[in-house]
Amino acid sequence: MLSTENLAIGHRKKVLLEQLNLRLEAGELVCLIGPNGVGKSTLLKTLAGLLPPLSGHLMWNQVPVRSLSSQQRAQYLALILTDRVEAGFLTGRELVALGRYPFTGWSGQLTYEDQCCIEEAIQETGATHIAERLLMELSDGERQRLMIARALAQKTPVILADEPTAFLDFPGKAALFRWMYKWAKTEKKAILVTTHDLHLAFSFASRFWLIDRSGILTDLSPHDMVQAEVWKDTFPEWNMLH
Amino acid sequence: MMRHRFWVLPVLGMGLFGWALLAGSEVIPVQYLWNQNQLTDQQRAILWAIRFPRALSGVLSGAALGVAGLLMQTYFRNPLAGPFELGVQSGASLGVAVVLLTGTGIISTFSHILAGSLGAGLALFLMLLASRRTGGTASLLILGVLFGYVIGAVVNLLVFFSPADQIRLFSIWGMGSFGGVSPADLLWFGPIVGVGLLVAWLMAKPLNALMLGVTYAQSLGVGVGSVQTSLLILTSVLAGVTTVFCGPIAFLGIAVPHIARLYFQTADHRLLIPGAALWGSMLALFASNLTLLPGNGQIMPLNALMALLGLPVILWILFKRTTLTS
Repeated sequence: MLSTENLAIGHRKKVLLEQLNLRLEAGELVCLIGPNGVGKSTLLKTLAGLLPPLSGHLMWNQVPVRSLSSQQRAQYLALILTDRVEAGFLTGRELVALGRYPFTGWSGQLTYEDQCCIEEAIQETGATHIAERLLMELSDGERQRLMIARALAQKTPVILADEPTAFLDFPGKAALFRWMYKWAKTEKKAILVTTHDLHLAFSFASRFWLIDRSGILTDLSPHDMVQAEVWKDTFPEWNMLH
Repeated sequence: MMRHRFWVLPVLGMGLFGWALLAGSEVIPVQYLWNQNQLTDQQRAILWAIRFPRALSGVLSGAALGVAGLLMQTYFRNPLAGPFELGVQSGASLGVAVVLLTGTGIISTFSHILAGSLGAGLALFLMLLASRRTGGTASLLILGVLFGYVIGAVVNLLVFFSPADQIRLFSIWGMGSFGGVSPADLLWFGPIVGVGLLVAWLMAKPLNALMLGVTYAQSLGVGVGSVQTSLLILTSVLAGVTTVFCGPIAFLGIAVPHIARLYFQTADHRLLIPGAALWGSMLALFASNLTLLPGNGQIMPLNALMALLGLPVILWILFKRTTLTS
């Protein structure tokens, strides 16, 4: 679904990660973990086609991303970030409806099919009770839930999420991981998530991409991950807690 | 219900427009507006050469500044953004000053419009660059004010080296007025604002997505580069042309979008753009009519009234900030 070849990422000549040969397949929930500042968000935004790679190739479905129009990109990949959304008089449903952006005409008029996608996404993420409320009345967690619904309404085969659990309470975090697992398994979506919630990642991830402090990305199965000492070196605090 | 609210505005607007045609030292009875062959030649001249252009330029300025403010608040994602506050109208003033104070006989309406829009565009471009480096809501406003001072200083230097006649013209223009627009000017002013408003309305869809921020908008398929360039040009032309014809009118641009959002209880630009245009027109007409209240042929300075009307709105945003943020 998404693959890279000798990809190097970073900002303005400062290389964060290089020699990346990654593959994200349909039906997988991959968790990208690592300490702050090693380049997780940069990698995610580069894979999403929003930041140019420093070198190497990025392919979506075997097609170079550079050759895709912005509309084609938005129909293929949806993004969930931690950016605060400040649009006071937008209703929850209108926010979710923006997920249909790449499918609507010039005026943004929604078809019956669009309405169905929106309703389905709202129900799927348990956001029915906040769909008709204004954004300015909602908490950060409730807004994040709507942003997740919006990504789902986009109906893309690939979803990339940068710390989507950040604003959620614990039941919310667990529910989100359960949903993402379900979307990967039953709808054959390819999902990549950066997270610091290791305990949840252990329960649901198909694979791990672990970035250590020296900037090396290792691709690990959950089994390898439990065995490997490498992640314990990366997260020494984890040893103290367990 | 929102659509229902929408249709109240044109009715109110017509009332204000009628008031604008009747207000002034020469008394023209209401029924003469329908029955114009009863007007004396002098009355007809006052109506068509002075009052009608003044009312229409109020409508055009209000609509243009209201929508320019709305566009700026959306793409800066800042409730305190406005063409006056961020120095865009100062930029237009600089353009006008250069043409007016240094121009030597080749001054045409078109060169004024071009200079004003280019000045506005330059200011807006600099503010866009600055906004990428500074995050805060208030710091952008401070930058805008500082920027306005710098441009003011440049304009003052230009004034210092200019002949007295041109300085007088320039300083009258600087007080802001809808009364200085001739019927011939309206042939430029009207179509430019009309086209600008239409283009703004056609961009409602990407504007709605931009409310989520640039990164989200990009991920939804907005061609952010081309949309930002279009918005930059559009805002510069709307604010620039208004400033050229009516002077740097304060506060309308920042206040009107908030009034429109509150009135329609929506963030949808498909409704907000015509809504801001209507509210802007009405406020401009209202303020313009107030300037004529002394009645004995004297006209109060427009910007003084604008400040009195607009300042409460800005204070309210600073203290409550409910329409964009939470």
